[in-house]
Amino acid sequence: MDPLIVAGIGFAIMFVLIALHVPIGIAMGFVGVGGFAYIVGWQPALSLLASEPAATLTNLNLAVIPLFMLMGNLAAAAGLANDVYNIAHAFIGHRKGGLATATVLGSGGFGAVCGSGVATTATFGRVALPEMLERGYAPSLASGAIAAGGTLGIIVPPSTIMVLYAILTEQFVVDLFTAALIPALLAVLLYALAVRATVTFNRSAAAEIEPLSWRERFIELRKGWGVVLLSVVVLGGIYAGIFTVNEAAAVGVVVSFIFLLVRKGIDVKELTGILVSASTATAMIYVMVFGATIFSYFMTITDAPAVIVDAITAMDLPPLGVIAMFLLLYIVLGAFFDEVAAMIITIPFVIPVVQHLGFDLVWWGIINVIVIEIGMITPPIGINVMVLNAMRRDIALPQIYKGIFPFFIADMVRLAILVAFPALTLWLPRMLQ
Amino acid sequence: MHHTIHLVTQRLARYLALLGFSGLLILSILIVLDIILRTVADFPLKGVNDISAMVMAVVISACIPQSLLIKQSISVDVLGQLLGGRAELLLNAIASLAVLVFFVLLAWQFVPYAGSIQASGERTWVLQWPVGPWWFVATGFFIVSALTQAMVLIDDIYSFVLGRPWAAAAKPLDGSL
Repeated sequence: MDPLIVAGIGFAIMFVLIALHVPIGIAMGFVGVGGFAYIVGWQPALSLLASEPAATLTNLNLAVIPLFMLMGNLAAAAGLANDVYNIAHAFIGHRKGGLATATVLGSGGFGAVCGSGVATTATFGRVALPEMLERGYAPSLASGAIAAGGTLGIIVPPSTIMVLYAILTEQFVVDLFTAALIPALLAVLLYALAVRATVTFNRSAAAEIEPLSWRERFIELRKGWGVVLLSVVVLGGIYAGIFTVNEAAAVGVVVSFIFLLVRKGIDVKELTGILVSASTATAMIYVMVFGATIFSYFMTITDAPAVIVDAITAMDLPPLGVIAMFLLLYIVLGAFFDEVAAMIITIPFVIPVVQHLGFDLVWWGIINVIVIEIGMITPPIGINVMVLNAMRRDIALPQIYKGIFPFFIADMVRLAILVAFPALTLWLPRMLQ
Repeated sequence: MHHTIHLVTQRLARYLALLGFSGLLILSILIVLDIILRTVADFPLKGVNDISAMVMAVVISACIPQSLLIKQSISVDVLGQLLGGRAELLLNAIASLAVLVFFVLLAWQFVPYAGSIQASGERTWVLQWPVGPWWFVATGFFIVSALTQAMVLIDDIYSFVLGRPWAAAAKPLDGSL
C-alpha cells in the first residue's frame, strides 16, 4: 500500500482512538508503532517504544519542564502570586476596574515565575477572585479577568509550552523566550484595555475602592521583592547569558524553595502535595512527548509532510493565506482537542509548510502559543474556564464566558497584529543576536 | 482485598512520585552549588550534567505511576459526555486498556534495552558511572506503571459493572503519606 495512504489511515485510526477517550500521547504512540510496523516491520517498530522514550528521558533540554513546573508550584505555595497581585492592587486597584487590571498585571508578573496557564488561573482564582467579588465586582468580569489573565502564564517567559515547541521543532528556546516579550506586553496592554472597555460599557461591573496612601503602596512594593528577585534571577540570568536555561530553572527551584521554607517553614504535608502535583503534571507531558516522537517517525517515513508541502505550494495561495488556513484549522481542531495536543499532532506536517513558505519558526511558535492561549478560554474545552468553574461552582459557565468575551476580542486583535507584522515578534531576538 | 490492593498501589505510586521529585529538588541544589562554586572559587562540581541526564530518566519514570493512577492525561472525552452513563464508563475502560497495553509494551521493550546498555558497559562521560543500572531502575518504574495501570483498569471495569464510578477509585489521598 502507498505509504501516503498508510499515513491517512494512521491519522483516521488516531482520531478514532482519541474519540474513544484514549489519551492523545498513547493514541499517537500506538499509531506510530503500528504504521511503522506496517511499512518497515514489527521488530524495528517495537524497538521505537524503548529508543524514543529513552531519548526523551535523557534529553536535557526537556528537563527544564519538570524544573519550571516545580518552580511554579513552589512559588505559588510560597505566596509569591499574592505579592505580585498586592503590588498591582496597591497602585491601580482604586481605579475603575482596577482590581481586574491588577489581576491581569499580577498574572503577567506571576507568569514570569510560573510557566503554566492552568496554575496561574488556579492561583489567581484563590488570590484575586474572592476579593473582587467581595468588593462588588460582577462575577463575569472577575472570572473573565482571571481566566484570561491565566493565559499569560504561557506567553510570559519562561513557558513550558515554548520549551515543548522548541524541542519538537529544534529551535533555540531562548529565542522563543525573547520573542515572546513584546507579544506578552501587548497582551497585558490589550487586556487592560478590555477591562477598561468593560467598565465603560457596564458601569456596574466594577465598584470603586479607596486608594491606598503612597506609604502603604511602598510597603506592598517592599513586601513583593521576592517575586522580583526570582524573575530577575531566572529571566535575567538567561537573557544575560549567565545561566543556561536548565541552570536558570534549577536556580528558580532552589530560590522558590528557600522562599517557601523561610515564609512557611517545613510543612511535610504541603511539600509532599507540591512535589506530587508537579510530578504528575510533568509525567503527563512526557507521556505525550513519547507518543509524539514515535508518531513523527512514522510520519517521516511515509513522506506525508513533503507531499503536503508540495500540495499547498501547488495551490499557489499567498503565504499569509496559508497561515490563515492553518489558524482556521487550529480553531476547528480546538473544538475537539486541547490546543497543545493540536499543536503537537500537527507539527510533523505544519512545520515543513511554514518553513517552506519562508516564515520564521520562532515567530510561528509564538503564534502557536497565542492560539493555544485563545483555546484556553474558548468553548468547548477552555481549560482555564473549567478550572475556574471547578473552583467556584456558583459562577456559571455562561457567566464566565460572557466575562471573557472582551478579552477574547483583545486576543484576536493581538493575533491579527502579530500575524500581519512578524517583525514585532522577531525584532528583539534578532537584535539580541 | 481489592480495596487493600488499591490502597497499596496508591501509596506506592505516591511514594515514587515523591521520591522522583525529591530527587529533582536535590539535583537543583547540586546545579546551584555548581554555579556558585565555579563562579566564586573557579571550582565547578564535576559531572553535574552526567548526573542530570541519568537522574532525569529515573525521576520522570518514577512520576508516571501516580500520573496514571489519577488519570492525569490530555484526552478528549466529548463522546463520553455525549453518551453519558454506562457508555462513558465503557469508554473509560477501553481507554484504560489501551494505556495498559502501551505501558506493558513499553516495559517489555525497556528490559532488553536496559540489558543492552548494561552489556555494552556504557559509562557516563565525566564521572564514568555505569549507565546500565539507572536504566534498570527506570525499567522497574515502567513495570510499576504497568501494574498501576492494571489496577486502574480493574477499577474502571468494576465501575462499568456497577454502572457508576467506584468510590474507592475516585478517592484521592491527601498530602500525607
